[in-house]
Amino acid sequence: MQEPVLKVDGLSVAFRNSLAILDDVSLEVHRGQTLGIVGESGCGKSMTALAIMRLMPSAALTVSGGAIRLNGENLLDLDDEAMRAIRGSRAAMIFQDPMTSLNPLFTVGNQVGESIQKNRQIGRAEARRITADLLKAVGLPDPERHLDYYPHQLSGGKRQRVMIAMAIAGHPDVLIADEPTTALDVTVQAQIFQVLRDMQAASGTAIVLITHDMGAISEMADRVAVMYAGRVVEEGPADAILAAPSHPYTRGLVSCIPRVSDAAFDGWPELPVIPGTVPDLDQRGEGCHFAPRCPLADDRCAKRRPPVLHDGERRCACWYGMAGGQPHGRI
Amino acid sequence: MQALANLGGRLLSALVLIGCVIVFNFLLINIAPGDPATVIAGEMGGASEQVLAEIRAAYGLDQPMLVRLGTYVMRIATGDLGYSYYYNDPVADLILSRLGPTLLLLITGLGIAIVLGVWLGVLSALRPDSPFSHLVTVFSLIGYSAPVFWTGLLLIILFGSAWPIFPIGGIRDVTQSGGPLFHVFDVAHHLVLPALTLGAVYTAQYARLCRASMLEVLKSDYVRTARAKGLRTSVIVGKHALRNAILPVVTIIGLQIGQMLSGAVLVETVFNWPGLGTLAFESVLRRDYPTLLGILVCSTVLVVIVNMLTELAYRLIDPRIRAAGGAG
Ligand SMILES: Nc1ncnc2c1ncn2[C@@H]1O[C@H](COP(=O)(O)OP(=O)(O)OP(=O)(O)O)[C@@H](O)[C@H]1O
Ligand SMILES: [Mg+2]
Repeated sequence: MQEPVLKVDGLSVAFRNSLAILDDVSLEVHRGQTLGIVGESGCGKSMTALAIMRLMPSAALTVSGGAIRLNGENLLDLDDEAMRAIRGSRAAMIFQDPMTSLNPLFTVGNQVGESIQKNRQIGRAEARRITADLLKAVGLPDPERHLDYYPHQLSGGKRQRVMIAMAIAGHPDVLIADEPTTALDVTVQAQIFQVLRDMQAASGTAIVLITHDMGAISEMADRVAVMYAGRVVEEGPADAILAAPSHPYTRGLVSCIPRVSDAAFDGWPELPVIPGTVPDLDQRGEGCHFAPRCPLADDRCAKRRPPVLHDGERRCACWYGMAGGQPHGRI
Repeated sequence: MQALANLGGRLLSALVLIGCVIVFNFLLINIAPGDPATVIAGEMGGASEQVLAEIRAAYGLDQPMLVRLGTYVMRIATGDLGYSYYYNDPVADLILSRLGPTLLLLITGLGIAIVLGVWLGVLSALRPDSPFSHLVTVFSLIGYSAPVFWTGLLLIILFGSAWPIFPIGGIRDVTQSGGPLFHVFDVAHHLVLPALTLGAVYTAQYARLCRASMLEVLKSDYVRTARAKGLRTSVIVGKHALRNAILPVVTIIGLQIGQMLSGAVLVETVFNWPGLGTLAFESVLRRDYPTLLGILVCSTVLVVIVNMLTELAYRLIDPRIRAAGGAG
């Protein structure tokens, strides 16, 4: 199999060198493919993305272990200037809130043009022309006119399209989209996903799509990584995991999708929501972080870190084995 | 068209404001104790009741207050600010001759405050935990709380007495003469201490404000976007962050310009700077009402103009304030 474009290997991030925010996170995504990352709020999805881009929001957050390989090159070995050169050209990112992610004081043309001129030595007129092409590619009607608009003159969906245009300006190998549609309504979400798919089909860019919406995973992702409290608890092909989740947490998430009602969930207690909340950073022991909320948990789960079990293309970190020792999806 | 209507409305409200200030100032000074006629008589050497009556008649002081107010407003409308009781010169001429030095002092002081304040604020926000940043915080606290005359006296002691490299009074050295270049240099030399004194308070304030807004802006989503785009730090800070961070500074300049004018009165007095401030100060002591009223009118106009300028600057910087056009 071909090398992954992005390979995160055992990444750990600590807060003040003591509390583990990310704990041994491993992920990979191949060219032309989409990796979905799901999990409840606070489980470390954004932190994973920011760590990959090396854009930690605070100096108190440091990478305490692991590697982040982009086409084989470990980003953690790069100096700041080399990393800066990679951002916006080989790795790009778009964010959750398009209303605040664009600078209110500069025009769309200026902000997208800046991304183009970062990567190519071209004049302003040329940058303007390419910007218009990009805006057209992300589905903005009448791109010439939109060049001179300020962000406040655009709707949320259009702003997110502008963000995407900005991100793909440098033809990145990987695009990280951190909940790109959470702030938008459902029809706009479908349009944004379409733009991302079209872009991927045209350029082969690998996408890391962060979401807490299983529906988005089934629509967009080739593979999915399920995160819980700073760890990846399950990872594998999206359709296989959605059809037959192994980890009790994943099963909880999947059963939260309203439309699901098939044999895979026979015997699984009705779980419209998973009871309880993600434990705080300082409340996380050695054992499985999901244990306090898990219907299967016993003493061993609470005390000792679960092993990572592999089964073909899938892996799962649970004391009960793949699917709790049962065929996938059954207990 | 919209913009023009806007401008018209602003001008109208500015005129109304100036009118109100004129009336208010006039009333305020007229209910203050002290009879200018006795002062003028004192200057002339005699103070008999008959002389006083003549003076009152000559200056219209014997008229009812409302009549005096009406006459005064009408005259101001035609640009006539009356005659000074003390100098016997037209107030307008007096003010014009003193306006230049005051504007020079104000603009230089403001310039120092903006450049230095923003620079200190930005630098300290970039490294909020560095010793430099703490130094800036302490400096702004001192600068903020120190009265203008105290700063002035301190600078006089330091650079006029202990290490005398700057003149401590006046606007030029009358004992020397030279070409226009010498004149410019001479005035600039005299300007240093007063401008620093006036600028210090506002440098401190702008540094504080700019530090706070910069820290806020650096945490914003659009700065994170700029970093994710791989822009240079100089572009992220100088373009994306700074432009947003100085908006509150622009606002406060407009709000504080009146305060700054009264600061200039103190500075001019401390440094014997021949501007409107010293004229105002002397006029108060001399109960020279026409001059005092003229200065107040003039400073009101100045404040209104600066407010309009800052608003214009704000509009230029922030497109959201400009008339909303286009669609979404
Ligand atoms: N600046 C910060 N300093 C310290 N801890 C932080 C900081 N930002 C986030 N964290 C912590 O990191 C953990 C992971 O947060 P993260 O933002 O990655 O969650 P998430 O999975 O993206 O959640 P959401 O779905 O709400 O976006 C949380 O426990 C959070 O408290
Ligand atoms: Mg997040």
